[in-house]
Amino acid sequence: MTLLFARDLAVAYDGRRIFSGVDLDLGPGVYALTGRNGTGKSTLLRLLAGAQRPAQGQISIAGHDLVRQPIAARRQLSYAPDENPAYPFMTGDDVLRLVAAAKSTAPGPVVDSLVAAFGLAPFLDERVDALSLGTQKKVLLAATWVGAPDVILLDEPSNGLDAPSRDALVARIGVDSARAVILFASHEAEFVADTGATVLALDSLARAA
Amino acid sequence: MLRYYLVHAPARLRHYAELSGRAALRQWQGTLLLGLLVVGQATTIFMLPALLLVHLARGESLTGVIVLALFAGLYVLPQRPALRGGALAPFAATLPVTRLTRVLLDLTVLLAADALLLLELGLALSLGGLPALPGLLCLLVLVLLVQLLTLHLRLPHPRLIARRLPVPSMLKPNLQALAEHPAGTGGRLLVAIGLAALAVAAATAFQFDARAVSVAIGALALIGVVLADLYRVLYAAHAPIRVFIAALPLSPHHLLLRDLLTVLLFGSVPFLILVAWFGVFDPGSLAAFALLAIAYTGLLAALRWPVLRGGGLGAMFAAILAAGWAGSAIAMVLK
Repeated sequence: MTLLFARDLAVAYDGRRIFSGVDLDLGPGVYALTGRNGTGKSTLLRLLAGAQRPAQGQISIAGHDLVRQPIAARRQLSYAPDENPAYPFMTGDDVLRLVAAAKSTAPGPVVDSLVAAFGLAPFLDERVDALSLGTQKKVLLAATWVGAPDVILLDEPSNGLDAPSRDALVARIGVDSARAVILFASHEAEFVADTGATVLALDSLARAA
Repeated sequence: MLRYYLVHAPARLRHYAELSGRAALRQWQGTLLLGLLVVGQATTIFMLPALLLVHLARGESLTGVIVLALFAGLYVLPQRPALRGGALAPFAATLPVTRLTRVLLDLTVLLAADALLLLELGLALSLGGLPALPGLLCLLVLVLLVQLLTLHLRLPHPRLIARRLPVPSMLKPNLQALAEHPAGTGGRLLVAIGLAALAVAAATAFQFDARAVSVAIGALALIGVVLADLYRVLYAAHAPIRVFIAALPLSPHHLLLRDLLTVLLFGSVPFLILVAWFGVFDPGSLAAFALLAIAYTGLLAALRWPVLRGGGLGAMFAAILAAGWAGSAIAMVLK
């Protein structure tokens, strides 16, 4: 069952093509996107999440075209960028409520369990800019599981995480790998190995510029 | 989607307020000050835009409506990053939210940005009465439509434009640093060009008599004060690289010279507008403008000191310096 499909994706910055010809056809499971710095791993995740328009190509999430059926596609999609996207004055709780409101749902028990496993509860009412980078990352990761998405895209998810939180994330990924596509970009070989992810080298997926 | 709107709208508004709060405060202070100025038949300058809006609402000037629409778009252009939601925008784009909700969020922030226009529309309604209401509402819809389109125009980032400008490579890092603050930089340049345009209009109204060059000098002094603030932006931008630059085989005054040339580059735009206009309609004044070019360069260089060293009183010191310069320059020209 294909949950994440992409065909002939290409991206260019300032007229310079970063990569082209990326095809993906992924069913439930865990996938690690690897590659050297600057090859476009984060860019590919942004394209798949709909945060950036590709120069060309087609993307569908759980059978819904990301351009023609954006709401249905995004309802099945979650994305955690590498850098915290929240306004500095927002709290962790604000971020969770924003994502839950967009998905017309409540954070739910899975998010609650992640909040507990990450030790986030004492920090949810603090401004995001007052949180450490690791805690900001935890807020974003917890928000990713709002609404039980079928496709989860994570950019460097283990960056800044303490060991117990990293283990909790690996466990969560393991639980959801049977029903969802979890695609993440990472430089950390140990994390990739611990999640049991299928490695997708971007160099082999794309025709480099 | 109402729930999402209610969660997201306050955050968007606060983000906009935090980024543009000081500029908005200056706008309101300026408006209140203009409210004190009276022109003709006890009408304050503050009421002139309202009178103009009533005139436009009655459909008496298509050109006026087009100018208003252009101005509305230009007003939004340098504020696009703040109005579109900043760093949260790409993340929010990945959430399952309807287009209507996104448009409503944009309109909410635009209405906040247009608070002064709304005030003027209210005043226009009080002047024109209920018959003017449909026309004024049409103007508001037109303005918002133009601003929405401007907000979502696919334009290259000002940083990319700065990189491509045909200027010496020495100035490019500074232009890119200023391009990181498109609202402030674009706004200052627009104000400077606006002041030059006002001086040109006044000189034309005076039929280029003895007052015309004095008005141009006054405008140049004001332009200097407005553009001198770029020194502060550049100084802050240099902070992270100052130590690194110090270790390179460059003159110890490298950054100072670079900043001075950058401000001169910006200052040359309004100056050339004045020179071109006076050159066409009053060629006899060009000799005075040749001397003014040297004095104006001196003013722009001197204004760096109060802006960077004047602390909280920097703006006042800059204004005093510019006023003194204008007085001396006018005295020289009249002599």
